[in-house]
Amino acid sequence: METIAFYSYKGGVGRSLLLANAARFLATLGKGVVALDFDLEAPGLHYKLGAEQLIGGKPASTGGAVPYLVATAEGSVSPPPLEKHMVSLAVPPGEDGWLTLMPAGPAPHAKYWSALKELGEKLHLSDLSGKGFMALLDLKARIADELKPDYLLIDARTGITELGGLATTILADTVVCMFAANQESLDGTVTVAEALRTAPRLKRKKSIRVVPVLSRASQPPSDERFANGVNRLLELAQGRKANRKVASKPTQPQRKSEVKQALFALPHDDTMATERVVGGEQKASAFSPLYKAYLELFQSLFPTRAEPARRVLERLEEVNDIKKELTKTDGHREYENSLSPWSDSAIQEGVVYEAESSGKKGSRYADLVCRDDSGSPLMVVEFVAKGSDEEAVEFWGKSTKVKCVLLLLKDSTNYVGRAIYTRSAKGSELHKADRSWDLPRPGEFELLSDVGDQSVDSMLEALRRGQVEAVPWLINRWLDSLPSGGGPKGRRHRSRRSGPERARRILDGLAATEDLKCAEEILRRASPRVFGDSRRRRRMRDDFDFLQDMDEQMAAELYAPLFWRLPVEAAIQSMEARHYPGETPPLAGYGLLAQRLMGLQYDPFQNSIDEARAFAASVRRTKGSSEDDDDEFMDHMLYRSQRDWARKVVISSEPPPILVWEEVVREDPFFRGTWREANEKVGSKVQESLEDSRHLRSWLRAKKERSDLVTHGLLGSYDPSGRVDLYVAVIDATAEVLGVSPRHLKSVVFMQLSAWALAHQARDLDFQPGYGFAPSQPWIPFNRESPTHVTLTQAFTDRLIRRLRDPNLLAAFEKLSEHQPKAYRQWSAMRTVPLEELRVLLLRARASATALGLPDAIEPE
Amino acid sequence: MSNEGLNALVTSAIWRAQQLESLGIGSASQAWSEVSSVEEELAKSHPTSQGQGRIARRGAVRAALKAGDYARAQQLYDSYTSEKGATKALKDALKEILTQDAKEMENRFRFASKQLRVGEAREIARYFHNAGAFGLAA
Repeated sequence: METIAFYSYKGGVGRSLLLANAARFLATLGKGVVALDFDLEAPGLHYKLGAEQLIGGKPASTGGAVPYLVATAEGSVSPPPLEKHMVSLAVPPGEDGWLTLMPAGPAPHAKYWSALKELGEKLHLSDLSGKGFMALLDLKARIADELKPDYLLIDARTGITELGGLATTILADTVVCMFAANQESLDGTVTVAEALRTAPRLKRKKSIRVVPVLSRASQPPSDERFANGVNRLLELAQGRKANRKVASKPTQPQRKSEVKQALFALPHDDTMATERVVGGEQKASAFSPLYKAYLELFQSLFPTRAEPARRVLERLEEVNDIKKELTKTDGHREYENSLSPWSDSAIQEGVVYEAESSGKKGSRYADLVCRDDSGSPLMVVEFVAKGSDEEAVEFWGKSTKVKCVLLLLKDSTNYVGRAIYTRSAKGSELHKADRSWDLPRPGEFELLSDVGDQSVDSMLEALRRGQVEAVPWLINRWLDSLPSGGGPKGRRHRSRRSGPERARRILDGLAATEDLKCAEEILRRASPRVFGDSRRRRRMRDDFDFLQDMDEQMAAELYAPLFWRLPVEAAIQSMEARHYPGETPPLAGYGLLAQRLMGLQYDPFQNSIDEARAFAASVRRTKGSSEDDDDEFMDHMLYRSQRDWARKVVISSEPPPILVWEEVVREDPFFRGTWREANEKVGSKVQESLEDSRHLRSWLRAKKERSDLVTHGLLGSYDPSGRVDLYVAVIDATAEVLGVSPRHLKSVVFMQLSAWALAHQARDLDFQPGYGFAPSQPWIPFNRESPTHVTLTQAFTDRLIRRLRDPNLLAAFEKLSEHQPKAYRQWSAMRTVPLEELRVLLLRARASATALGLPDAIEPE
Repeated sequence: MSNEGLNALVTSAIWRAQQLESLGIGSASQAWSEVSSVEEELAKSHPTSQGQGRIARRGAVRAALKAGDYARAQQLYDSYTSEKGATKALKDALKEILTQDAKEMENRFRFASKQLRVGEAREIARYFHNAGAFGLAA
């Protein structure tokens, strides 16, 4: 039995806590340990070791060192059984270690203090008869004889006391001398260490091993006097001769090279402020700077247990790192802002995992078990300490149903690598996944049928199942597929040949999304204003020019096509969404049509600013108001302008004007009233017919037969104020009549009306809007739009659809135009017209010239 | 005080100390100290050649040990064994008293006794008795 006394000259240095941790550590590693509380005047080891419920303040529990010694002092030849004075404590499961505490007594109950007083009267430790000394030694010998522990750890009294002196000088083989980072504490400790070196020892006993430990500081103060004291302490620890009576005057400083033994330092640790006992724990949550320091100290303090201590430390550090990684919210993750990390409560630590599959037996230690909300295990993390990874994979694969296993594997060079094994939901065998460093997050287990399979196809499949979390991943992969690889230097695309093909596959997959929530998320994520910002934050080496280029590329090649190809509702939502007040919506979708195809400039916000400024200036000129008033006025104007703009595309449930006019004329062929009067007259009836799909379809079939399915006024309308209405009920019924997808027909109508709106509102190089492209007023009956304008709009819609390369949109466009008036069908003849010529025609039409010489388009039908 | 008076006193003191000891009353050791003192007084008035003198000397040492005052017992032992005329029988008897005491202690602390003899324990105890805790006052 090795006896280690924990001593401190001054209190409050964490002596009992260190002892408690050491006791648990040794017990967990299979050693028998007795912890003895000899801090009789301020006992508390039972609190540290979690036995206060059994002992503290309970008069019924009268056992302990003090009652035992009192009984001994009374001269009993047959001392009471030790068990009555001991408490057996639970230790974490592991090897066959045990931990028994001999508390000082039932402190702080009054009975304890009475017993202590009695002991003082009956047992004088300095008694020349040697009775007091024999009583102490007898206790130690009896513990060794009856309990046969491997270690006896004594919590010695602080300061200079008889009991503290005997516990350290006579009873102990090793004395851990703890001191704080102040001169007072150090000088006292040096004094005691000197005394330990010169005190008499029992025959056949080696000299005391002294282990100085600095507490509550990661390193000693740097002043010379303190350094000299520390050096002296370390010399004494190494067994050098003591200089009696020199403690208060530290010896001459030794050269640093002479002092070989390192001073152990236990840093202050807030996580251990509650005096947690974690000794022996191999759970990540036990890991802290203080526990790390403990384990390093234990390696020296218990040389035979040094290797296990090193292994525990190594395991803890690795598992702690993994847990941090699993629970961290930031980082270079594909799923940033999308997939939440694991919550602390979802991760269970240190689980002896029993085989769960029928017919299988055995268990394996899992360092971490990550569970879903219902508590089912999804992933385990194991530091493979013993055996091979094949054994681990065999167990986790065949005896459990976990979907993912992360193995931490140490190679011969002590490098700890990772291997992730996954399986599909169907319960197939575990197989090694490509990923090894980005750890699966909980959402991925819902997102992917196999978290190891992060292919584009797998993510697109998840998206088809409505898993919105796949969106950022896919967009990231799309970025990676760019020739620049989505990064300024590095992350270059691995295969230039497959890059564009993959980008196209991702784009088509995203565009095929039917689910509105997913579609909105796609546009939100594809919007450079959102994604670009998060990338900027992430990159260590920010390259503004590069990012700007990439944002532009992303806007033009990802956001804009998706804006037109995804459901119209999502496009409208993406323009209305505001992440902060005054944010302008992304214009890349309109930009593709206006800038790239029509050759116009479209920036309504800049225009509204210009207009507000001009208006404010004119107000200032006429009213002589101050500039402050102007600013306020301009803000108001801008706000209104932006608000109005946001409402410019509307999914309307109103009856389309053509339906109203036709109905009112059917009822009264000589009706001469206004739009409002017509609406009041037949509005409700038309609304009913809209809801009667049979009636509506029959009416639309008639129009189809007459090739009269006009866009403007029937399927939607564009108002000169800038508002675009989409009459969804009519569009849906028309799609049914035509046998095309309603969603794609809606997009086609949206494109047609948007082309018209841009032709009217966007600026040319002279910053002039297209006044001549003003649409006919829908509330004026039978006032049809210009055939030239219609043909041009259709031609640009065709160009846009071909640019998008979306067969569904093209099919809907072609099918619709087949049954539209002649002007709507001329786009096919315009396909051969070079884009530049088309633009020239548009500019002329915007300047109100209708006689443009367009083939078959100038003649009104 | 006359010898008769001392004899009467020591008889009653011994009876009182035994009673206190049998009842487990803490002041028994004090009573034994009184016995030792009275025996010492008797020893002073009776030389070692007299039987009563030898009895008193043995009684003084034994009572000191009973009182738990080993220092006094040792001091009396040293004193009586160095007296002129101290017979070998007396010396042996006094030594036997101390030996018995040591044996009693060995029996009482049988676990510790396996590791060291009482004499060694007493040497160490003396060191710390003189040098204080940790031996710092040496």
